[in-house]
Amino acid sequence: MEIVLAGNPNSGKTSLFNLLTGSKQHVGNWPGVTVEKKEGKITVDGGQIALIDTPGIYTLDPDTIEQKVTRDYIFKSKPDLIINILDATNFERNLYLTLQLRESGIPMVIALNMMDEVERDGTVINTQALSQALGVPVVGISARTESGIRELYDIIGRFMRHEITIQPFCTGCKDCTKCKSGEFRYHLIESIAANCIKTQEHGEQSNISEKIDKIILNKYLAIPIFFAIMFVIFSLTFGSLVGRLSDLISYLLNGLFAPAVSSALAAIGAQQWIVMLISKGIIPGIGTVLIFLPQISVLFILMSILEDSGYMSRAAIMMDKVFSAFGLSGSSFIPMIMGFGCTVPALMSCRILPSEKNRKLTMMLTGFVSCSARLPLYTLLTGIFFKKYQGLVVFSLYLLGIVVAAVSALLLNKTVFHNDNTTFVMEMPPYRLPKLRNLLLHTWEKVKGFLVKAGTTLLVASIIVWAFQSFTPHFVLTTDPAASIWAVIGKAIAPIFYPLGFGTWQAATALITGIAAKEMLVSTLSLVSSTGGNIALLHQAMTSLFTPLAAYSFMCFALLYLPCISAIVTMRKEFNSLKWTVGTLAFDFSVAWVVAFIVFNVGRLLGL
Amino acid sequence: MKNFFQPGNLLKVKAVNYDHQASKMLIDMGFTPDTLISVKNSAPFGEPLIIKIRNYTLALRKNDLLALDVELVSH
Repeated sequence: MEIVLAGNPNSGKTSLFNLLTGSKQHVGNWPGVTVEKKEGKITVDGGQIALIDTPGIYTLDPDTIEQKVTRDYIFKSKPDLIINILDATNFERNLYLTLQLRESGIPMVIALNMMDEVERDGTVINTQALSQALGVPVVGISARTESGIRELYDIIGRFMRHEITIQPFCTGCKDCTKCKSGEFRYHLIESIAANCIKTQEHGEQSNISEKIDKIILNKYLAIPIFFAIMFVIFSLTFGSLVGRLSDLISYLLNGLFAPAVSSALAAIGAQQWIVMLISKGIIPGIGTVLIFLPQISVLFILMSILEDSGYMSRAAIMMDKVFSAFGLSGSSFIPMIMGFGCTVPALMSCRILPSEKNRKLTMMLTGFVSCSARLPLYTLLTGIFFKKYQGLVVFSLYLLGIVVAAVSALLLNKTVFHNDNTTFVMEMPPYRLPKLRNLLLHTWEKVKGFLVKAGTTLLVASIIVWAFQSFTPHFVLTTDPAASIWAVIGKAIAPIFYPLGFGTWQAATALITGIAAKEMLVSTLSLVSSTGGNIALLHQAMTSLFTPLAAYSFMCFALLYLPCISAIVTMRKEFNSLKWTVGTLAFDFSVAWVVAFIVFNVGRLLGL
Repeated sequence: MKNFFQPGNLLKVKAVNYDHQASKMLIDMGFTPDTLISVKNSAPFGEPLIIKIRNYTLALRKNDLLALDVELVSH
């Protein structure tokens, strides 16, 4: 038994999916949140049934990869039942897909979502009449207020018991051309709407959204508002309040936890190397990163607010004109914004792009957007070298990432892609007040992911870094970092970075381990300076490694040079080509080198 | 051709040019003959345009909208 959830983008499929299966899949108020199918289980009449969530589609004859996933899935797997979810506030356009699904002959039930908003607007939808017109059960629900869900379960149960049978359906356009069939469907939709919908006035909700858009998209205000929003996000994330939380964690870890563990280990008479591994390897390796958990959490909460409010689509629209200069469209801006969180989902969300060229080019750019894992490095180094202007300096790095992406787009489009003007369509969801529960859930999922990463990837990487750092190339235990394996490897690579201002083996080592996970940049800098996690000592070590200018150059390089291993694996999968993956990595590295070179040497000429 | 796609204009679709690359997308999104479309405003750089049709809002480029043959209903 298998049920598929299908419907237009941003109609609430994933909200309903989460509600029915108890899953915690990512939802947001913009079209294209879900880019691959997700499976869950629901319980009907005591039996378990597979429920498949699919990317939203406007038509069964779609252009983008993510939408083709849905079409192929519906046609190839022939599900036992389709739950077609409609955004009832956008009845006519949503019904277009419904008619196509209905023509496929697969049993279906229609779930009219967002009925709470429809009712608030003073509109009445006659579900009985709609059910008669289409020959399938119709139920009005609200995934937001969780109303109508019981009824939906009942109908699914009746389908499972074969109490409902579905007759074939024809729009009456058998003989017409493919194009004209669209016109036919909308004719039918108009007559259905006339029969089923009463008092469809301009809704209060959409009026409010229109008023907000008058300001948000205003010719003169839009860009300042955009940068103001970005700036608020960065000031809050790097503000002193969050900073104090970090200090608290740092104190708990290094002031209380680490000494306690050390004395406990000494008390039970653990071997010297075990004490070293734990107190000089694992605790500083993971601890140095955990300190930045508050910043990362705040960044994710703020990004969730952006996503849930409806601003994402507006930002994409504003950027469309800029992106069209590179043969891209505003749709490419969405993966970029996602990239501020994590590069992996950003690469996957490139599937929403309409053409293969657009998708590849955007994928090549997403690595330049500064992901949250790079944030600990900025926080650490700007905290040491640019204490006064910390927010501004970090902001400049994020901006640099975007500027580099733009220049690269221009360059790549001239040389490799030769994109023509693509079509661009972006639906504008109404503004909605973000739901606190959703924000917390989403942020918790990210924080959990971060903690899991700390307990797995970062743990293993820290142990390896510690081992390479505690042994000489002849596998003799050493306490002198300069004699360690890292020193040898780092020194071999360091000359590449001399012209960039940070030709030390410590910096080189950090950059190598940073490929495993970006957080390792900070962990490694802490480990190889043998500070045992002590913040004051770490600050001292950093000032001896970097001048302020070199530190900035290092951050620029670390921002751009290579994505982490998970992102590289995702890239390989999404490109489905080794050549493209290697090409992108080589491009990233070269760009990073050139940019850091310019930053460092221009800075030096200016006497910084 | 006169440019009817100006903010504040209420337009009516007369026909869709099926040879235009954007035609299929426009039909899917509900731009069929006799439909009213209202041009709300434009994005900061003049493009894309914010269009209201069939009681929902979307953004489109002028180039794509040129697949539509429209008549002016009101300013």
